[in-house]
Amino acid sequence: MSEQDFVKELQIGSQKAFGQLLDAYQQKVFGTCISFIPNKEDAEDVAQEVFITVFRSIHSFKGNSKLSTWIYKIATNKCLEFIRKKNAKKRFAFMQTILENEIPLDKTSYFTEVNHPGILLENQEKSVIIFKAIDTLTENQRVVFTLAKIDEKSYQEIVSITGKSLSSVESILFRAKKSLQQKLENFYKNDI
Amino acid sequence: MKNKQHVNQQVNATLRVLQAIEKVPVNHFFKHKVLQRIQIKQPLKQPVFIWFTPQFQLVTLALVLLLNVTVIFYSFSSIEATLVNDISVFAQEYALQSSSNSILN
Repeated sequence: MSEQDFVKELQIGSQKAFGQLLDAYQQKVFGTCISFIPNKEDAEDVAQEVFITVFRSIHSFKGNSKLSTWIYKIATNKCLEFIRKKNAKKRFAFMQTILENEIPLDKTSYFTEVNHPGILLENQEKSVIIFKAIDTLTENQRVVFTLAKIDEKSYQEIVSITGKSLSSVESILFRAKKSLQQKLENFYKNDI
Repeated sequence: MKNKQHVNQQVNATLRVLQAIEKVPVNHFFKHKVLQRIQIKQPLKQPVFIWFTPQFQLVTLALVLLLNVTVIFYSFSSIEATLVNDISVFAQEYALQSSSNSILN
């Protein structure tokens, strides 16, 4: 079955087609989600939301891009939205602890706790540092860096997902790496 | 110098953590959970006027406005005509209208 026919099946609400879509993409979408959100439960929740959104808005899919690209775009946006909400909640809780005169630990970021089963135990501490550093990148840099370096997507896939040119993606990735290096250097300098 | 070297080592080790992340298999019941959530959410009614897109809404608004303007225009012009008629009937009834061109009237 061609992709166009498959999309038509999805658009008429075929449960069988949606089951096939889930079989084909559940691992990939979950992989993308856990790359942005290093917590298995949260990543799974967001991945579920991605498929529900796909199911609900498949009628608006015009076929201008590949179906996979469209799904990854939704996944990326859902992850960013989730992180934004979590960070806002954490900031609010942090402000409350200050107002209540409690000892303010650094809990302003969602990435203070990492629960990623794919991260080795000896790397846990460093993974918190790197994920917090990624959290401080600009949204463009975060998306490109995460897709390229954690989710291991190809440049061509990143170009399709972000809608940017190849040179732009390369330049964003270069700046993201530089910025991360700088942030980590500053962190370890202060740590000594 | 030693410090700088140490910092560089730490930075590189931290960046290498990303390459060492292992693939996490998706939950075995993921598909089942999604299908269940969809079935729960499916009974939600789709909006009835889903075809009533913003373009249609604009065209409808324009038509309604045009209709209003036309009705107002026609009603005002008919009022003017009846007013003129009413005056002539009134003049005739009370013999106020001169039918001849006599200079005595």
